Amino acid sequence: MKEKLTGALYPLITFGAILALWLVAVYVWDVPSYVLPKPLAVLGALKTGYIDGLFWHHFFYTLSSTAMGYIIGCVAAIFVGAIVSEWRIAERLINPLVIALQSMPKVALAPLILVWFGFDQTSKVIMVVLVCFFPVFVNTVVGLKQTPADLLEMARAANTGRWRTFWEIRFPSAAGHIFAGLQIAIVLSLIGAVVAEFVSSSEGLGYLINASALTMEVNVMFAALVSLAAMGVIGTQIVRFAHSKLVFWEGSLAATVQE
Amino acid sequence: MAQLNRARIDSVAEVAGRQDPLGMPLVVSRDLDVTFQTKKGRIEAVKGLSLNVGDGEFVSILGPSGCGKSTLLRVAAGLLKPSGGALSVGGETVTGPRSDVGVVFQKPALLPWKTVLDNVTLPVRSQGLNRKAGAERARRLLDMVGLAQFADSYPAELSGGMQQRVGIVRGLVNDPKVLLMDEPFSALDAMTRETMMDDLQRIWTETRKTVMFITHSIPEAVYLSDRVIVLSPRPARLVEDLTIDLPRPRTMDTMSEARFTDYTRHLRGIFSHLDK
Ligand SMILES: Nc1ncnc2c1ncn2[C@@H]1O[C@H](COP(=O)(O)OP(=O)(O)OP(=O)(O)O)[C@@H](O)[C@H]1O
Ligand SMILES: [Mg+2]
Repeated sequence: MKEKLTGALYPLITFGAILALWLVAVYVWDVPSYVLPKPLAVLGALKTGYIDGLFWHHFFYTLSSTAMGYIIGCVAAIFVGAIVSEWRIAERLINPLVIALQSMPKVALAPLILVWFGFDQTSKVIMVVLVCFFPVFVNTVVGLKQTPADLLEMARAANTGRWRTFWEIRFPSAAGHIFAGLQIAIVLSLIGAVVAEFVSSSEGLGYLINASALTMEVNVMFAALVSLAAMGVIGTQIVRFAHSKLVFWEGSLAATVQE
Repeated sequence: MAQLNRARIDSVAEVAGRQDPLGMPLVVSRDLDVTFQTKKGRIEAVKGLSLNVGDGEFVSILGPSGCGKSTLLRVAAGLLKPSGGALSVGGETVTGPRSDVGVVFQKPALLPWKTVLDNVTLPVRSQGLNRKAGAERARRLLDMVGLAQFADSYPAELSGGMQQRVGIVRGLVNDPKVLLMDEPFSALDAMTRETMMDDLQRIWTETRKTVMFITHSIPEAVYLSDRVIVLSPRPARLVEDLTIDLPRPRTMDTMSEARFTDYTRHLRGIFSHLDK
């Protein structure tokens, strides 16, 4: 319990320091409010946004694009990664494409995707799918390839078929790597959604930021940013929780005993 | 000592055609060659190796490090195809993993995400055998090695010795005719090793499996075996085939008997010749 309290203390100190700096900037150095809004103004924007209801629509628009794209992208990545690591031919066919696309900044594709898929939510979802796919795919392949040789030899000696070897040995053995990819994909998926909204959208938190830049409503921009940060933090925590529950054997035993 | 010398002469002259006193040989290796193709060239790991293991016999295989013991075992397990000669189990040439051969590895090779019981019954699931019967057999075997109450634990919750016992139970779960063991105790501390030796002797007495047991320890080999086979440095050839004529069950007192030390001294002598 004491551990947990001190654990929570450090982030509080950090945020307290940032808030103090912010207050100093606004009230002591007199940074103009069209550059840096007062903390209370941001709170006010959040309050009117979420209580009067204007933000909710944008929030859910971004959330649903992100969540849908994330789920589709990650499932596809794990599936294709499994196929690539199981069949050499698939690896040879798919690898050149992966290498070519992997080194390209995916967000640069946003305008093209809008042209191809229209300006509604589909194009945002596809952008997120694209951004999520690669880290999860690469981690899946690496994880599956790193299955310890002694486990595979043991399975072979026991006559374990390919399908069972995959489900009972290779996939669980790769799970830790896959979750690391899923973690990265959370952050990237938000980037993908916001960039797609920047390029062209009339909805979503990305649109809200863009629109309030034009009208110089910096407090609304900050409120939207806070909302995005919250989304990212909550998403990361969900994946982290799932990781520790599903891949329970990788968390060190000592740590669980301590708690 | 005369008896030992005769055993030595036997081994060199007529092992290939030798009839085992305990019954028909169950495992027969004839002129076995194993060659590995590597970037640096060909490595002959086993060359012209002939030996046999009788039904129900406990045979240890000793040899210098890197001489080809594991290679021999992997051929017997159907994990490696020989480049010449053949190895048969029960009269059939081994061409792949078989359900009547169980393998215990040096590392326990347990799946951390499966309970002890699920680890032990992997061969049952793999070979599509009756799961209920398999689980029952697994529980009986776990009970036999004193792990009954750990059936639902995960491997990380067990000590090294307990994990290796789980590995042995997994090797036995399909009730194989032959159990192949590749230095199963080498990663354990001396105390645990001794209890494991007794456990293994008990398991063997109760199940009467044919066992091929690879080890680096001369006392361990003499203590456990009906016969001890010594292989030469790479490529592995047979240099000694020694019958251990000590009453069973053997206990820690056996180790201090004169005949026991005669055997170990004899084997040590062979090893010192090999090194030259
Ligand atoms: N897959 C392989 N590819 C190439 N060479 C191999 C392979 N497996 C084994 N060897 C070589 O064959 C020889 C015998 O190896 P093996 O593992 O059978 O020895 P060992 O007697 O079990 O040794 P140790 O007692 O140290 O376990 C070694 O020189 C090893 O380098
Ligand atoms: Mg070896």
